[in-house]
Amino acid sequence: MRLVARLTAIAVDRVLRTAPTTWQPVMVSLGSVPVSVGISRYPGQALRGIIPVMLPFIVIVAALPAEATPLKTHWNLSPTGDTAYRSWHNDDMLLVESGIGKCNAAAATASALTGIINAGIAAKRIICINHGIGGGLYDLGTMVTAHAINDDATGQTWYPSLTFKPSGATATVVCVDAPASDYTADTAFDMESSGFYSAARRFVGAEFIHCFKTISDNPDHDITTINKARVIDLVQGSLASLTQSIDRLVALHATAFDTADIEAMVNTIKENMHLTRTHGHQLRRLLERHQALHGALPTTATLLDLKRASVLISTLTQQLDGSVPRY
Amino acid sequence: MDTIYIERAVKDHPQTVRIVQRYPDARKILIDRYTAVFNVNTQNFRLQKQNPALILAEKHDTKVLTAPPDYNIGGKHNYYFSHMMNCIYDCRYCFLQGMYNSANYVVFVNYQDFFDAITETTNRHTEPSWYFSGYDCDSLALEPVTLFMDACLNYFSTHAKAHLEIRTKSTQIRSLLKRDPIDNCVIAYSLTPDPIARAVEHKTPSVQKRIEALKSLSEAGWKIGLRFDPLLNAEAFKTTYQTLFDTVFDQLDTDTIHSVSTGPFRLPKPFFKKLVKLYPEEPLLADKFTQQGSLISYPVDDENDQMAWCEEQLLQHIDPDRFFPCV
Ligand code: SF4
Repeated sequence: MRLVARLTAIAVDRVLRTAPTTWQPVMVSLGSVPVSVGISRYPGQALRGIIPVMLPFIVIVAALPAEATPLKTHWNLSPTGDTAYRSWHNDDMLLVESGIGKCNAAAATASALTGIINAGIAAKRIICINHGIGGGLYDLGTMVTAHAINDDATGQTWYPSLTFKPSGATATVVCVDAPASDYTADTAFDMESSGFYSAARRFVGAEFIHCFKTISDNPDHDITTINKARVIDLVQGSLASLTQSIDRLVALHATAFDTADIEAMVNTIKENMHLTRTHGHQLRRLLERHQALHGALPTTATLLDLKRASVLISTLTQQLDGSVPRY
Repeated sequence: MDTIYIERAVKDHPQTVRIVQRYPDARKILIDRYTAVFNVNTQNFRLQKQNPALILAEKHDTKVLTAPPDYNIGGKHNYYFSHMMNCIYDCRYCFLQGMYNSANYVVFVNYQDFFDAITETTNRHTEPSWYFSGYDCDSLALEPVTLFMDACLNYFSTHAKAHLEIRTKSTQIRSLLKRDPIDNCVIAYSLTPDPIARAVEHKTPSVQKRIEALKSLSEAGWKIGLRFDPLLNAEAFKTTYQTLFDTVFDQLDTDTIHSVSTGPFRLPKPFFKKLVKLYPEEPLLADKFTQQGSLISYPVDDENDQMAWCEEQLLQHIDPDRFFPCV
């Protein structure tokens, strides 16, 4: 994940540029779940005063151990110790082994996303992926991206947002309750996609939920011949396509507006001044307006000099209401 | 366009077939109703704008709607219609960003149904009716693909009691110049001072190009309209708008101008909030705004001053009976 590492560095640098010199970047892990990168305002006290930095965090849901193993090795992931679902992580990623079927996929996805969001990773940071094997009229080992996910039992269909440019072919992924082999054009069968997708969309933005299926069976390679070794081989063979698609999603994610520096400033003010929830919202928008109209944030010292929240809000409002966009 | 969603019901419609043929490499995805793609509420308009898909659909419900009370250019019965939702341009003040969840383009291919609805509406009145196109899109921007305006003008050329305003920022006027002008149609251009247009009307033709298009159209005998709408606040508002008015009226023969209108910048509150959320760093949206009823606008006094000053300037160039402030 060189791209993620690079983006991490850029975002941390961006926050640190406007921060006091004592602040330091930190790698944070809360319980069994990594919180990726943050900025510590109290060096040496790792869990105090951490400012989360808006970076993509990738969640991958795979059904079988043979589907998860190559990913675990590729990204050098360590076990999280989670007992409900086997899972592995590094600073940018969580891999969850859900078990077979859409119910397992839905439960594992919801559980993983709830866990990491509760641990402080904002939902808007998450890229959520289902990767696994599927059958279809494609060459063995081809990775297809779902442009539609159809639940065979209920008939419900979802259309993942193809704002990013997927690597390779796209297909309708039909999620079946039992293995199927009545292959048709532009279609792949799997057993997890609808459960995964319906659960993930409750947490994550539509642009960042995707299903990738590596073809494991087709009319020339019967579904009954699939075994563990073949699955590992196929998943390993599709890593280049999967990585390319993830990189493109990360690049798309990087274009979202990042308010980390504004959040950092609001947090600092909060620590030094009593701010109600409403004051917090007002201050956030005033800082955004300041940045938009003056090209930079005010200094923290100027704001803290105002001593009281009501004075701070009214002074900033007055100042900004007197500013007009310059073109 | 790398993805085209097509409603099953219109997959063989001649317009669908023609449009799809233009994009041989695009992936085509059959859907039941466009709403399954377009209305999903977790989509991010800003991100999607980077790579919008095309959706070809059938318009089922009301095709012709009553225009707001002050939206007119001298007619008594005023209506609007949209054969398309969304726009290839990206104006930062555009209400479509606040109204829709998706930045994908929806084109309704059942053009004839729009014309039937216009006939039915026109027949309700003894006086002529006016129809404003380009309410939920730019009328001409995607014309090379849709050819809707071409069909529309064929219709209006044989229905003298129905009058059409084509509102646009597009310079795609080749098809208009190729045909004879019709008396019951006005081609109206939205104009913003050049420095503001450069900053907030992304992907649009330059103001000078729009003026040149107006000139070509008027020389070809078409009635033309000037729309200074919305009026946007800026440092040196008067100088900026004065320059625009001078530039426009220096180049156009005022006798050929059918109508001139102005309009303030107003948005329903939920739309404005959504715009701010999508673009917190946008100077235009960081200006001072107030709430009037359910609308967000510049403070009333500022808005009145801007409207009155522009009216005064414009009336130095055109007769009052050709001036229509839309408030
Ligand atoms: S040209 Fe009109 S419809 Fe298109 S983005 Fe601009 S304001 Fe919106």
